[in-house]
Amino acid sequence: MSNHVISKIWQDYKKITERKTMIIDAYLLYVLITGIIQFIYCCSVGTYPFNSFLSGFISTISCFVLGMCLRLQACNSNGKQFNRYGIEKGFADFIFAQIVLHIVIVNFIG
Amino acid sequence: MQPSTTKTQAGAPAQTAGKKVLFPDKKVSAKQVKSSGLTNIAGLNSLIIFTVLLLAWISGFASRLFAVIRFESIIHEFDPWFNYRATAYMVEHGFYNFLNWFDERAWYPLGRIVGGTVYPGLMLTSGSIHYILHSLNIPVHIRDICVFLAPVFSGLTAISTYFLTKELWSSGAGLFAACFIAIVPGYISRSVAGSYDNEGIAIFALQITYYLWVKSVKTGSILWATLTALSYFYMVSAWGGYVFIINLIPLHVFALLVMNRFSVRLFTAYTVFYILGLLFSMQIPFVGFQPIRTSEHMAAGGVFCLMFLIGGLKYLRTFMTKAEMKYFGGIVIGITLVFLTVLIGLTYAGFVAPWSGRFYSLWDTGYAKIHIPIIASVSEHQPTTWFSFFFDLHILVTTFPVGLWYCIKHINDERVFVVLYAISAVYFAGVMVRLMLTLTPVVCMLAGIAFSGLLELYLKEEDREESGTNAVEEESDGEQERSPGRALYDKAGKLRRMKHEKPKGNGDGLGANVRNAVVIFVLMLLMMFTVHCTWVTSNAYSSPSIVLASYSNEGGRAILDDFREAYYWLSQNTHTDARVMSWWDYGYQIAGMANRTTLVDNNTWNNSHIALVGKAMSSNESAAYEIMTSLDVDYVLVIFGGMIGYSGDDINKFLWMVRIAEGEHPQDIRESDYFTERGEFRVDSEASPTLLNSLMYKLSYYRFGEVKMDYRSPTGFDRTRNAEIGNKNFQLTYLEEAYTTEHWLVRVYRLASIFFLNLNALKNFTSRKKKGYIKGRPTVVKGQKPQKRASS
Amino acid sequence: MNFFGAILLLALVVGELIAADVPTSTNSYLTKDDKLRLKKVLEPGFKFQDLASLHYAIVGYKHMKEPIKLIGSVKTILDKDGSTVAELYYSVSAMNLLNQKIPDVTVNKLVKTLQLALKKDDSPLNLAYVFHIAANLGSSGSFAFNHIEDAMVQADEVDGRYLQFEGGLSVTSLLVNGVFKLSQSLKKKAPLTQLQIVKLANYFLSRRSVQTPKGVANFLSSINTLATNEFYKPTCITLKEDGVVISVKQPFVHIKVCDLLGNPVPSISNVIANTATKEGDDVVFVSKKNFEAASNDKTVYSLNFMTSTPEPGFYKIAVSAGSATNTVLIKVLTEVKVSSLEIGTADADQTTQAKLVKVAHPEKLKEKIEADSQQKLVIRFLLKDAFKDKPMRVHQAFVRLSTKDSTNKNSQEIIFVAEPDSSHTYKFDMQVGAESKNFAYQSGDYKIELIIGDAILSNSFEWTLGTIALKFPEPSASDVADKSTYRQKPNVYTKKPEIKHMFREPDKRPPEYVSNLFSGLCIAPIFLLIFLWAKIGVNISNFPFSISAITFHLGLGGIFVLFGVFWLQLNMFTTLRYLSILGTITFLAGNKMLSQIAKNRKLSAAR
Repeated sequence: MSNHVISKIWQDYKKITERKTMIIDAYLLYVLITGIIQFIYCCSVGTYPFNSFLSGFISTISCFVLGMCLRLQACNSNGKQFNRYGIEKGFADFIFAQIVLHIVIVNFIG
Repeated sequence: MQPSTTKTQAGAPAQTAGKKVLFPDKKVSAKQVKSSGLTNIAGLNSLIIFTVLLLAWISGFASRLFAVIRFESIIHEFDPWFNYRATAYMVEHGFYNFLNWFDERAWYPLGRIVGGTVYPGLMLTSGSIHYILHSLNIPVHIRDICVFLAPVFSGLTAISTYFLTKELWSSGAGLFAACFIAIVPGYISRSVAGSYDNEGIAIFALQITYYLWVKSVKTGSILWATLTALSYFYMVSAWGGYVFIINLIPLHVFALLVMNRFSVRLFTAYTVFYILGLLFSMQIPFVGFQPIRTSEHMAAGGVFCLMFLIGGLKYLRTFMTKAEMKYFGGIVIGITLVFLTVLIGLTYAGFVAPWSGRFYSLWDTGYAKIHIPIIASVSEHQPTTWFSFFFDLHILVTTFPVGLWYCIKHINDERVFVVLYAISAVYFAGVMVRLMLTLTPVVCMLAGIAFSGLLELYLKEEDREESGTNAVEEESDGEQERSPGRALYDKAGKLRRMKHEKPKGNGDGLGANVRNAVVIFVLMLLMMFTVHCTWVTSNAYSSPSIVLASYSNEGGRAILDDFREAYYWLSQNTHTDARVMSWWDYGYQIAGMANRTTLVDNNTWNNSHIALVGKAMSSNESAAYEIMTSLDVDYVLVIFGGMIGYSGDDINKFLWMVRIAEGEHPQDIRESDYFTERGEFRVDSEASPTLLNSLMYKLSYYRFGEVKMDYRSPTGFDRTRNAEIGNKNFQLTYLEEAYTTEHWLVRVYRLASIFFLNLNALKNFTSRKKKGYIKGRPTVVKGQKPQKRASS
Repeated sequence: MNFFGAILLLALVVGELIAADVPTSTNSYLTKDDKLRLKKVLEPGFKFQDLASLHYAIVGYKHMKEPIKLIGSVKTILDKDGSTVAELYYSVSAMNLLNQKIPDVTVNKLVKTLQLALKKDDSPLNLAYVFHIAANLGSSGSFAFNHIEDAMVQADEVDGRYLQFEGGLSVTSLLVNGVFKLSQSLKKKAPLTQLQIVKLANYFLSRRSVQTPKGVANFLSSINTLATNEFYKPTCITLKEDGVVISVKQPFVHIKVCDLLGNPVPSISNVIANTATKEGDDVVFVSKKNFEAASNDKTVYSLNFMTSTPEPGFYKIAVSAGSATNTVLIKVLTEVKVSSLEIGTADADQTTQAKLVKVAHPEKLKEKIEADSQQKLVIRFLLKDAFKDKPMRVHQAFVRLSTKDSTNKNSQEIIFVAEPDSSHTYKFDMQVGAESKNFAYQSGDYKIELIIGDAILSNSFEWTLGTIALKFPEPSASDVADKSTYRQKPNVYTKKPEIKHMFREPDKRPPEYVSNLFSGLCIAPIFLLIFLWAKIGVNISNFPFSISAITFHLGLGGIFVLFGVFWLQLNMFTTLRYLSILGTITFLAGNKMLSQIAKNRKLSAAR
């Protein structure tokens, strides 16, 4: 059952999703994998410089969240909810948030 | 005339939700239509808004200056003294040194890592103002910046309140709210000039954060959410009350989810805000890893995860059947359960700290009294009385439920927020006097909405009538508005005029008389509110508490400057490393003004150390001497109000010292010993002997038994407690009086050195009339003088 | 002035020897040691440095009958009419010493001057000078004789035993000498009673520890005067040196009877012990017993006191020799013996009978006793008078417990008092548990010692009974706190140890290769990203090569480079400053670029 469902999802996904969105999805996947590797590191080795670990891990989460939000705005199906903003505005916001995020990450990483 | 156009135009720039507009704007726009045409309407509208906000700022600023005018430009109270000292240190040594500052003058012998135990937002704010002014070659002393910081920020608070209310309702309500917040006593109490405390800037940060949050929920933009997180960061850096935000916003989100109001905008706003806010809040050294370690912050994380789950489900739903969804629903529930178990397990294992005591005391008002007397001892932490609700908020307390009702009636996403804000703030304000501060802004906002709605209802017809009024009226209106004074007065003036005009128009739904009556009544209320605010501000909240004023029968004012006298004495007459013991209330002042080492101060982080000082104060002299020598005390400072009738002195605080000491040393100190047999706390001859022999009692009343205040009262008559003291003529063995101020308010004692100690012991020995005798003392019979002989 | 203190001291020492009634003899006399010492004090006076000390040295030596070895002559002393009485005295006395006669005219003038001076001031000092001068003037000095009574009235009486004049030794001595000299030169009996003489002598003897030459001379001259005067010579009755202790082995009370200078008094034939009373109960024990004169020393008389079998204790004996009487204090000692001693342990709650072992006096218990906190240590013993074999009580009976290793820093020593019951049996119970605090909870071996002592015992002793192993419970928390404060107490005033800040030890870091591995792993997905993007097909061709776009991308890159630099070296504030510049440029460029793109898209959409 599960195999069936997942493959169905995958096909649906391929069918529905635009290319632009897929680029973002690839980015999201990349961030997700990085985050998972860090999580494995923390579980297996330890979290010792805790702030460094946190800054790394949170930065992946943040990047994922921001990318997700960008994807939501870029997605045509959600266009109604963001009627006043174009994809460019969304991208500008995304860049701004990334800059703010990373200055803090760099500060926190120690 | 195109009334409908006017209406929509006036509302358009700012409004999305509300269609109602406060009448002044409307009126002006209506006038504008007549005189200048449609193009300028928006500009003039914002000019009016700008003017009203400016006046609100100025009046708010002005009414906070009572203290400076009456007394002088000085830092008030207790905590501000520490903030000032820290700011001065930061300005002098730079920010990074400040973060690493280890203050060995506090908490002797422990010291205090100031950089890691302080919210640096306040110091940073005034430090950067100082920096900017100095780079512009305006040489302002840092103290003046500190003194005037809170009034300036109250203006910013008014503006942010305006914006928030505008987002929630309408710009008219926003103006009302801004005017209310500018002068409401509940907020002034924490932001008069000289009250240099975290709350002064924190309320601004709170309001601006909420405004940005509402904005980002509305737009769903990453930018606004990022800005929300940034202002949340500012709030975290400024005040421990940030926990209120980080719980209220998830609550809002959760409530929206429950109400099935999930949207992609909400998802964007919350996830971005949460993850950035989490990261930012951990930048503050004092907060550290708390946001992921303590239970207070866990709700936000839970809602974050929930958001993702729901978001994912909604996304999947777009291309899945119901049956498949059910399958996934099971997985989701399973994951949720696992998460919960893990969280509980972590709490149990100690990775996540359980709720701290201060938070328990919010749920259970009796908790602090039993478990943490130190929290209960602070007067700010007492439950609020109805009186103080009325005192601080006046008519707003009665009108804000109306605004709340309006909001519930016309509910939307952001009004859910304000409703939750109001309800939770009311609860917390009821628990602790101090949290009245968080209630005040929301009360102002809701009262603004209420008044706006009310006046709109009753003046609705007026608009049409009014559009035909003459230009002379307008001119005078404009003048009125520009003339210096209260924003509210301006409005009142305007209102009155309109009322005059009313009879011309005949009411559609409501009778003109009824309308008049209501309007007059409302205006009276607002007048009374203004008068009350001014009165409260000038009488209750404008005393610096380190300089006292007393009024003689003729009405003359006398300044009692005993505190500064004593601190100045300490700074001039004691060794620079001298250690001064006092109750913790005065720690910051001693450090700030006398620049001497203190044992405990207002940062009450170490309960056992405070308990030790409390034990020294409540035990008898010799036991206290042992404690004091082990703590290396050189001087002891007590506040004594019995001479002038000052009620906030140490004897009145004494029971708290006993309670706190008892909490740590139950075998040595028992509270019941300090009461009479009938359970009273009294200082006269019927008082318990333990009390009469306690160090605090002796230090307060040393030599007081010789004092006769006037010819009617007996000697040693305590004016604060209206009693003749019970232990009059005693000597101090281990301490000697070093200094007593003019009105006996502050008394400083020196701990005798060993040499003086022996001397004193000898003195006491003889004074007890127990003479030593020498064994075999010779008895001498003196020889006589012979009689002079006349002859030779 | 030291003399008051000296009197106090003397009174302390002698006070107990003296009965309430006034004795008619002195207590001490001038020994040879005293004389030697006094000479030493006087010697420097002969160096002619100062006239007064020379004068006193001469006077002193004369009195001690020592040969005066004068170097040089004493011509400097001239006949001169001084204006004050003291100056007159010195002139007259010096002339007298040089055996020069004073002319009559001067004498008459002198007498008048003196009489005038006396009217003005009749203090003892002035009177004394007058007496001296008058004594040197022969018969013309008789005017001064009447003033002797005036002078004696002014004497202060201390404790009813001493007579002295205001001004101390010098004045008293000067005055007494003057009085006797005057009476001698006039051949008249001085108007002094015998009692007064004795009291004066007592006073002088009490001052025999003087240190100044003048004092010594004064003292010697007055003692001499008193001892050799023709009217009444005071007698001294006292115990012979080291004669206080009487016991079975040394049963004699030795009494020394002599004059002030230690010479035998020929007039005394028999010395009688009038009464002997025991201290404390005042019961007359002996009455009217004669002392026997010792054969080798004429001043010593003795009496066998033990014949009347006195109880051990202190006794006062009133002695009379001729007309003089005095009281002496002796102590009669005895020996103690331990008649029985039992030691052992018992249960603290007295449920079981105590197990006791007998130990004889000088021996030691062979096996070690053991006691834990539930038990108590019990010692019972009976003390007996060795001569009379009667149970007795002693003043001090202690049990001392001490750790065997006294060099140890934590050594303990605790002393308990053993209490006697009505049958004179001493009992000692120590609850081990209750006393554990006093022992600071230090279990281990302790030495038990019994200490017996009393002033009337000739054989006070310290006896090691044996060893006990004490076992204390673990201290409770509050006890530890008490103990620490107890320990702290003596150190309150000493320097406290410096407080050193402890930095948190950094946790152990994982080995380097693990870190590197994971760093690599973290970087790895970026290839995946590139791969995926490539697969999806990123459209780079759409890249607009306008200035704004290039500036934007450069600015963005600059910002991230800046972050890298910030991470490595910059601080927050400088970073923010650079960021504000870079950010502004990037923002403007990006704004333009994005609006351009949006316009293009709208255009294309419109098309």
